[in-house]
Amino acid sequence: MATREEEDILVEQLQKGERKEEAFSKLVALYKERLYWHVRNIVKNHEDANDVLQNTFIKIFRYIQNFKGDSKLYSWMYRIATNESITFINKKAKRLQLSSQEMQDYLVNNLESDVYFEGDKIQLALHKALAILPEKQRQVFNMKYFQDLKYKEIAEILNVSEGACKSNYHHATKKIEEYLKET
Amino acid sequence: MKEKNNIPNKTGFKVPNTYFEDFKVDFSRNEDKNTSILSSIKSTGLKTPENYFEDFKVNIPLEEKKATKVISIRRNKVFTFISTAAAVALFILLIYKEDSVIPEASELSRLAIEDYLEQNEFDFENEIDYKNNADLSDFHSQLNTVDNEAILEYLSNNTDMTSFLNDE
Repeated sequence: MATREEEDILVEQLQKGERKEEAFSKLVALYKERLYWHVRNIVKNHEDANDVLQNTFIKIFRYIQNFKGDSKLYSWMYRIATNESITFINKKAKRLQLSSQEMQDYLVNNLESDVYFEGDKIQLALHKALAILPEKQRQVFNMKYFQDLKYKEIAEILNVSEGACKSNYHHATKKIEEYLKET
Repeated sequence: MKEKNNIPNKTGFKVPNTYFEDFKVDFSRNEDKNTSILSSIKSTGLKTPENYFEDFKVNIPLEEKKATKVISIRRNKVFTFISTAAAVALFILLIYKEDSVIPEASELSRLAIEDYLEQNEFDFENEIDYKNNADLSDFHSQLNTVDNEAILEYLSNNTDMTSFLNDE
C-alpha cells in the first residue's frame, strides 16, 4: 500500500490533470491486486471480478475530482469497489430472479465447477459458511481474515465504527466455526 | 500437600501422582478447540488466469479521457423535464389560441369584406345599377349602329325568316 505522501502526490496529479494518465497507471499498478481480491471475494467468479474491477477503476478515474481527502485514498477506492461489487451482485440476482440468499448459494455452487477455483473440501465449506452470513459480517470477515486489513481500515471502508467491525468479526468467526464443525 | 494448602481431603477424590507438581496452564488449549478448523484455512482457493495481473489494463473509454467535465445526470433530467413541460404548455396554448381567437379563413374573408365595405361607405346597389346602365347603354348604342336598310336586306335574303314573319 502506498504511503500517505505518495497517495497525496497521485491525487494531486490526477485532479490537476498533469500527467494524469501516468499517475493513473501508477495507481492501477499499486492497487489492482488488492482491489481484485476484494472484489473477487464478493462476486466469486473471475470474469465477473474482472468486469467489476474495470468499472471500479473507470469510476475512480471519473470521480477523482470529487475525492476531498477526508478519508484515505485506498479506503475511498475500496468503498467504490465494494459498492460496485454489491451493485453487480444485486443486478445479477434481479436478472436471474433470485433472492439475496439464493444468489449467494448460486455463487458458491458455481465454484465447484469453476476452473479458477482450486480449493479443497474445507475451503469450499468455508465459502458455503460465508454465504449464510449477513452481508456486513461477510464483508468484515473477508477483509480481516483474508486481506489482513486493520479494524480501523475496515471501519473507514464500510463507514462503521471500529467496535461494530470487531463485533461483526467475532460473530462471523463463531458462525463459521459452528458451520465447519457440523460439516 | 494436603497439609500445606490446608485443604482437608474428606471427599474421597484422588489425583494422579505428581499431578500438582507437573501442572502447567495450557494457553493453546481453548484456542485449539475453537479455531482449529478455521485457522487451518489460509486462502480462499480462488485463483486467476496466468499473468492476469501482469497483463491487466484499464480500458478507459475515449470520451472519459477527453471529457474532464462531469455532467450531472440529475441536472440533465431536470432540464429535459422543464423543456418538455414548456413545449407541451406552448403547444396547448397555441391550440387554445387558435380555437378561440383566430377565425376560420372563410369567416375572416367575409368579415374583412364587410368591414371594408362599411369603412369605405360602398353603395353596393347604386354601383350595380350604374354598371347595369352602362352596359345597357352600350348595348343600345351598338344596336343603333345597325340601320333599317341592312335589316331589310337581311330579311330579303332569308326567305324562311320572311315566311316566319308572314305567319305571325
